[in-house]
Amino acid sequence: MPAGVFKETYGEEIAIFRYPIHYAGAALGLLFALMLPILVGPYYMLLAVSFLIFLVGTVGLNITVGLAGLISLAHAALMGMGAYVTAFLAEKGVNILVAIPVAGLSAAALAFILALPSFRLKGYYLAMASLAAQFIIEYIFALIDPDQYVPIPDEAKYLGGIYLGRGLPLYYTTLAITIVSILTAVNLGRSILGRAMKAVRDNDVAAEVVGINVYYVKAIAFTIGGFYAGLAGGLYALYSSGIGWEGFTLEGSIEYLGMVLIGGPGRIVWGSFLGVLLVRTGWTLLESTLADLIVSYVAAALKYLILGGMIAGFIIFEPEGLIAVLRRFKEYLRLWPYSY
Amino acid sequence: MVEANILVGALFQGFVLGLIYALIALGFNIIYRVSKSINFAHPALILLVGYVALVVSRQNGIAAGLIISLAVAALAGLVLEKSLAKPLIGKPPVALIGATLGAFYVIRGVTFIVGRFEAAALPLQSTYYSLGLLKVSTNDLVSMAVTGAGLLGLILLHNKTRIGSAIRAVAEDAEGAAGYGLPVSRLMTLSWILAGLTGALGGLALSLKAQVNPYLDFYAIKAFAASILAGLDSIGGVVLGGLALGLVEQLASIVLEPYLPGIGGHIAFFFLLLILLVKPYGLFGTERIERI
Amino acid sequence: MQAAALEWMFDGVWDRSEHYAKRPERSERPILLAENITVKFGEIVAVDNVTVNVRQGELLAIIGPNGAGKTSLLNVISGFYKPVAGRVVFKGQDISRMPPHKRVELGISRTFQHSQLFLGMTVLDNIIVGLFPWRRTNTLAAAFWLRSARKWEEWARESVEHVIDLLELHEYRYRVVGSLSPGLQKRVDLARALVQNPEVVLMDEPMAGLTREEKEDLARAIIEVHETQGTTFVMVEHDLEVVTDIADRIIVMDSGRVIAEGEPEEVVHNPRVIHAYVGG
Repeated sequence: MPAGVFKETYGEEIAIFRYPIHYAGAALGLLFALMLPILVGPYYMLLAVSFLIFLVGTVGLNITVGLAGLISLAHAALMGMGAYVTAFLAEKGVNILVAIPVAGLSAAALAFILALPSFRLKGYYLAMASLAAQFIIEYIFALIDPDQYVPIPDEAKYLGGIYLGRGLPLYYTTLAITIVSILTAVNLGRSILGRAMKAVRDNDVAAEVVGINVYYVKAIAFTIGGFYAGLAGGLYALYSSGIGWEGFTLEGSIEYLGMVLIGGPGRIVWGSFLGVLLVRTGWTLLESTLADLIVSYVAAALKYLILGGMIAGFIIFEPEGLIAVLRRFKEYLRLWPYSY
Repeated sequence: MVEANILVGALFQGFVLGLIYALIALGFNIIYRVSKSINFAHPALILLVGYVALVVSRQNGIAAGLIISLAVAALAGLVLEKSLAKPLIGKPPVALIGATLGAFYVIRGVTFIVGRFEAAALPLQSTYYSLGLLKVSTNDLVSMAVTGAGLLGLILLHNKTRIGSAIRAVAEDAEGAAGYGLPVSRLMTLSWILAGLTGALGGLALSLKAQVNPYLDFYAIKAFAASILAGLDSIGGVVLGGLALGLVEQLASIVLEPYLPGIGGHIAFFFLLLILLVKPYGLFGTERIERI
Repeated sequence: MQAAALEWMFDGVWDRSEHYAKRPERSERPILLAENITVKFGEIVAVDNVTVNVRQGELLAIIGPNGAGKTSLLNVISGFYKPVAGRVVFKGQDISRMPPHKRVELGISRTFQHSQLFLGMTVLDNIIVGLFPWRRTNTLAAAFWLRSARKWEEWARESVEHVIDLLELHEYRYRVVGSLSPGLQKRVDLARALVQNPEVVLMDEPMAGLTREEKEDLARAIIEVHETQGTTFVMVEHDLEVVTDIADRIIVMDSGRVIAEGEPEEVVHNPRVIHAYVGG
């Protein structure tokens, strides 16, 4: 706690921005995010849009996995649910800005139904149930979308004459939805519900006996995760001209899980941020470099090797994720050159 | 109405595949019993074994392929135990699930670098025989023999030998077993090696049955359903679980295929969800008593 | 004394006065009745047809040698174990089929023998989650941090501060529980139960593993809550000295049965009890 800052109300103690440096950081971050299109070219702006989309999804999974300690292997399928619902609604002439929240809600409903039977079970059973659900949903996608292509009509992507599906409007729309998602997720995390989730994660047996409705908390954690996944799916539909289910397979779910576990489970914002940056965006950049250097099958295999190695490595050596590594590094810098 | 020879053929295929599922499921259960977690690396092991057998037997003959793939699987079991299971003892089971998922990807990566994502049959001549309504290939018979021997051997080892009863004791209560002077750590290592060998036999049988291809691990993932039906901590139950899964798959693909294309390959997951809903601890599994 | 206690309890309560309703006076009336309870684990009978009657406002101790079934009995009352036979009645209502968290909401809190805290969370958060049954915010209000969520947080925090005062946990508020000593963890455990303002507190070996000084502190805190708020305590305990000092009544269990019951003095001199403790 920095010196010279005193709290006068309980509300101030749990505020999101507690210290002057938080305000400064947030202002700088926001400024950077708003200026990004000026700072970088269109390719990197699109990369940033894709980063934000997966950030929304990862924030959701971080609530399920990091806060509530439930392993979900169906996150990509839930994102797919959001994308298909958006596509369906857009096809029916619904504006995409209406369709995206609806996508979130429908993915949340699906998540709730899916995991309902497994709440009375331990975490590893939920991993199994969600794995089965992932394959079942994939199968249903393949039934309704055998060509792996559902177009998103451009007419749905207008807001007052501005086309949102490309360029600056796309970037700012995605950014706005991402910021709202992050703020709501942080609020959920610091609310009594978020604390109850952590309690369930740390000791679910005791949680029930000290008065926490463990079924309810697990259900809500999974449902909230599903909501953000659906939102990410909706944004994905805004970003692409058409969707196919190849992006919503088990590999997508494992990648999501990897982003949470590598970035920092339980650290909803910064853990997710680092995870997506390293795994998703980092790989995209690395892949384009590798493409010129090595044969394509090695590159594909390398992705499995690197991602898998990092997941296992972080769980064993740094279960709090990359964020903890950075924090240690920060402490080191702060105290340098006197190490105590 | 379905023709009789199709039905008989399907039932036979279901039986053969069911035994393979049982053997693979046994690998999950062996690990669950000692480490109380699901080993998601197991499916990748099946894939690895298939490709190692393929690559080696092309150059050095089928016998070398079989022996080396078994050795690789045992080694992989050993490495998994030393690098993941051991450091994570005492951590919540979710940690080991995540770590084995990571290992799943690592082994997949290694396999694809070795095997280049190709699909090919093991170099073993297969001939067909007709037995009344049934057409049987030698590959089917060999894989049946392999799985049958593997299952029988492991169940006997588990139930009749001293090592088996020591492992049972560790599975029941590791601390208590240590108190009686059992070498718990070595028995755990042994269990992981055994699981690796089980996977290897299952993987070889599967490679004979379905060719070596990049989707072999999908079969292993489906074997989860057999594992859950038996109950994750049951050993003998997997035979029943595997056979049930094999038959359900075949029947589903005969009966439901016209309405739901591709259902045969996915019915396992509906089956899995159904079991979790109705009988989460399986037919032969024990419900755990929590203490506080 | 009592008035002052009630005053600080009502102070700042937000729309939740029933959470701090005044307790009825102490009486012979049973507040909690565990009737003909039998618990089995496989073939082993842990509790054999035991009936325990807890009176309003008393401090009841259950003692007995290891394996006597004391903890199992507590677990049945708090709903963690399902008994094969018998029923639990709380204030005239049969709660046998109620899940554990509902019983907490009704007013039965408990503490544990071995720390069952949430080790990754701070002391403050560990205590606050005890108020989960009385949360007055829904998911949406929490997500947008609406007035109801903010108000609830303030109310909850004030309730927690009262317990922190009572158990002198001030300096540990922001410490992660996993880093605290066992004695402090037990205090946090009790704080989590007391913040729920329970009518009955079930305590499983509260004194086990504490130093003499810590025992005295804890006993003082228990007596204070007992006397100022009229809270009923049911305490499973090994330490006979503490029990005879603070308990109003003692029940002795052995091999799953009740073998003696009564005032501390008479129970301690009961030959069957001496036999169970010394000869058994």
